[in-house]
Amino acid sequence: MTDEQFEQLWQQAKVDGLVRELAEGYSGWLRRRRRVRNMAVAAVILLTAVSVPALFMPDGRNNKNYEHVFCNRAGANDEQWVQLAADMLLEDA
Amino acid sequence: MKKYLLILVLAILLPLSVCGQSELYRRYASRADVTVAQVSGFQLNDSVRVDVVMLTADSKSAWTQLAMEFDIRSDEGVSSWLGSIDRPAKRTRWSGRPLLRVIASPKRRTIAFYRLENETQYDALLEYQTNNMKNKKQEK
Repeated sequence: MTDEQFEQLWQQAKVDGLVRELAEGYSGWLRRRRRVRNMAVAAVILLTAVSVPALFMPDGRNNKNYEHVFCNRAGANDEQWVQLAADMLLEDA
Repeated sequence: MKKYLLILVLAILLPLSVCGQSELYRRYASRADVTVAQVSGFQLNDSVRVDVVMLTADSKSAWTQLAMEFDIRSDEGVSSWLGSIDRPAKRTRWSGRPLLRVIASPKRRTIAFYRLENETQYDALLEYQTNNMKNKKQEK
């Protein structure tokens, strides 16, 4: 191998290394960008999913004198239980 | 896509679990002879709400059983006490820590547990009782 050939190969190897570094850097940037995009999409989904059921969920901002009634018997009337909760306090008073 | 679906499902389920059933409710929910109801956010005044669990015995024998469990000796009159959260039957005093105001009515075969988290709720409950009793007497 002549000096000239060696120099040519050396330059080529340098170019290849540079291209590889650039390619790695670019794919890393792509990965980071994808991660940021995924996080942004997840945040949007999370916010939507939290706020949509909240619209239908009973909470302290409603005008009722209770938020929610659970009962282990089907068909029980919510208002009746609220009334009983109030009546029991008066029984004691 | 599966990842997004999982996040969506979790996000829907998590807030719903916040407004959940109390330990006391869950403990009695499977009892066939007791009707259990939980009123979450029962309003005492403009700004104070408490959670109430009510156990109603479906029969006389069920009431006898409940009365034994909560050490209720009176067959006629209403009995009430402050009970600890873990053991509602245990009578205790107000110490600023969360506890239950328990009211038992043999006539209604019902025991009601008002969960009091702080002094504001404790005071609001007493105020509610006083005010409503006054109103009831005035109505008569």
